[in-house]
Amino acid sequence: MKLGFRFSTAAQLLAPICNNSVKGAKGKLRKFSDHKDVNGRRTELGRQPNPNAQDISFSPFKNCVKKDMLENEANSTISKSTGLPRKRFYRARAHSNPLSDSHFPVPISPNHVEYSHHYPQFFSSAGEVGSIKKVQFADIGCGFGGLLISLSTLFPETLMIGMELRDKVTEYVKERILALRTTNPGQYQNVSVVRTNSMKYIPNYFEKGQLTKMFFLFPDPHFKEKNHRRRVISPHLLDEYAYVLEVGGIIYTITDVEELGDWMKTCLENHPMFEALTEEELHADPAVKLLSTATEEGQKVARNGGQTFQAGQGCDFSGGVILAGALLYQQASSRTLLAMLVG
Amino acid sequence: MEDAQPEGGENNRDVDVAPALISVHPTQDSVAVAVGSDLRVFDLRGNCGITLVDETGEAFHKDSIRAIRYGANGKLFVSAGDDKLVKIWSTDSWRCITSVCSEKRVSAIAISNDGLYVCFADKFGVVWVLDLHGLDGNETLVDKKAAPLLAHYCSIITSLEFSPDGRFIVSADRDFKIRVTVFPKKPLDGAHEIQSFCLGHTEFVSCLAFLCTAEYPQGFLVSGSGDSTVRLWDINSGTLLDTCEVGSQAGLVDYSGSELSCSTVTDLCTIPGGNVVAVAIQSLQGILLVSCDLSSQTLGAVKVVSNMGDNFIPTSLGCSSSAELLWTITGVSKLHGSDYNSLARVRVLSGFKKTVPGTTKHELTVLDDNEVPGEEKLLEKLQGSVTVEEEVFLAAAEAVKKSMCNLLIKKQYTTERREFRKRGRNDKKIKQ
Repeated sequence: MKLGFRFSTAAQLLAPICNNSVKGAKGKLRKFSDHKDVNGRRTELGRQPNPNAQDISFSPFKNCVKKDMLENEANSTISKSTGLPRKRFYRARAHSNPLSDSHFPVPISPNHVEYSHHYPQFFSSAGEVGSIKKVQFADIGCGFGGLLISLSTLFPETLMIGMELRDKVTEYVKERILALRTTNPGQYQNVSVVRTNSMKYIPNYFEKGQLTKMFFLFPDPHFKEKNHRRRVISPHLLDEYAYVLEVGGIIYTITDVEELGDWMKTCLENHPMFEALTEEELHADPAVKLLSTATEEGQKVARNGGQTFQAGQGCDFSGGVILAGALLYQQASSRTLLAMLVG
Repeated sequence: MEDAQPEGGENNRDVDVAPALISVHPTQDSVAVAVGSDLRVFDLRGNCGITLVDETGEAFHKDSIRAIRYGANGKLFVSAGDDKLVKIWSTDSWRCITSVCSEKRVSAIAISNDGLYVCFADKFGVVWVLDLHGLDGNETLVDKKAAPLLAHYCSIITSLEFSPDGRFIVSADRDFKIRVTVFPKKPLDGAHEIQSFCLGHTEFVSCLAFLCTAEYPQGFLVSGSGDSTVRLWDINSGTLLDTCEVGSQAGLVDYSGSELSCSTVTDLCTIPGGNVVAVAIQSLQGILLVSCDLSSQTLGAVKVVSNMGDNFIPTSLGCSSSAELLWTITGVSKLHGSDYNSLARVRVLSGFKKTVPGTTKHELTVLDDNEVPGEEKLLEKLQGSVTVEEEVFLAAAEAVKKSMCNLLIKKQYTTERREFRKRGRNDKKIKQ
């Protein structure tokens, strides 16, 4: 059987398996259709979720830890070996609706953002007025923060911030940064994260021309035409990105979805305030190498990519179906990478 | 069932009413009033009511009109609203020159100072531009298409204004933002260069107006908001210059804090070349005058004009550059539970002057109905009847207020209710 199908046909292929009414397969099907409803990318599809982990993270006790349990509970979410928070305690839905009214606090203006809370060391050592540093890198939709962590050591003197809409994921990144700061004294002081809807509130965080780099890595593809306005790169939103970027600032985008790659390319090419970087500039930029390797999403694409390729040879078809759905895009596209320059 | 008690806003169509609007020709040739889907125009020169001619196929408006405006040179008039139609009228013949369909309901309109472009904003935050080149005022244009100019991300745009020098287009939204965008040479390709964001309001921004004088031709922006303030801005940098707490100035302080929208600013009116702002506030029976010292860039409340009649809470203000008259209207598109289908009451104040020499001497007098230009004829045309019973004013003001809150203020849900709603979600089953 050939594997040259799109995501939706993968679902049909899955159906006969589930008709056998094997319990496990049924579970898979439900998971799968949930996934289709929200029309996003695959996330945890490849892995069978650990039911216990889900219970804990969704239970109401999570946020109001009882006093006597405090010790155990608090420790259990942090890995003993690495001191980092364990991801399975921060499982979240794969998507969040960017169009909905937000119920989290939003700063009134960039002056109202307390950056000293985010970067205590930079702001305590700066001391005197006038030497206050401003955030220069923004990772929009930072997810679990892989890129930020890598960039932090690559540009130790640059302040950078991740913006993420899902509160649990933001919480994870926060814990991760705090843990890294304790285990590596003096390092990771230049990264932080905020929970916000960057499509709505970018001007509330950054002044005109403040940023030098913006990262949009593996954004939600939003395939349906009706949902195209939810895409984080769109002609009108690029106006706002151009506003917060300095002249010469760079937008980095990467995706494993060909359709979205084409869309982003078209948007950026047609926008009068952006122009493409040359190949040489791309190769000279140290951040470009991180795009596909540093993020969790990128690693997943690479990881799954290998597996599918094998499934594509026709060995273990039934086991590989869900995975194949996840990564056919990866195969089809040549990992669209766009780096654009404000001019 | 818990669901039987909606926490406001769920039976939207019922409370969804539109306030009455008024707009005055720049040289006071005519005055227009919109109540619901009804557009009424009175010719002040000829002292007679005007019958509108609409041959564009879709006759008149079918739903509430949300925005009306004269062009700066007085040749054009635009009306638009919930029926998603933008109608452009010639003020000579009062014929509808063109009627453009919008994809969404229209919430605000603006006409460029040269009268060549009409911009309108829809409820999804997109501002569209319409090219009027080759328009001579008498022939009917067909097949005009609007092009997207800019967009606020999924936020209702409440007000649109061109800067006095025509360089910028300013848009305000319910997400507390005011965006200043450079109006490009070729607007049909979109406006991509953002000059600044004016951030400082802590509630939806409801209205915008420009103050400009001979010394400051670039002008300063004033904005009114649901946070019961009027603020003064420098649009080049987006700097907040001054804030006037109009709610407390007008004596409407609500210490409780529970009634958030108690003193929402509903409309602002400035005279071209002047430094006085007339402010209409929800629940204020009358008008608040605010003067602006442009050299020191400060705002100061001057006085409250409250002798406009019992329960007269203006919903819209208008004035012309030539006469010293301030036109006010109160009314609502429909009133539930009363005999009236719609309601409108026009009052006119004289002495709305460009400058305030000595603040105490500022005299704004309410004209009696027989002193109003056009007298009874005008009132009959614009109000629908000469006399309007004042008892229903309060009900009307309440309806307008409720509708505005529903539209612009974010809905607050209790934690319990949010959890309750989540129970229906497929992927987040809470184990019982």
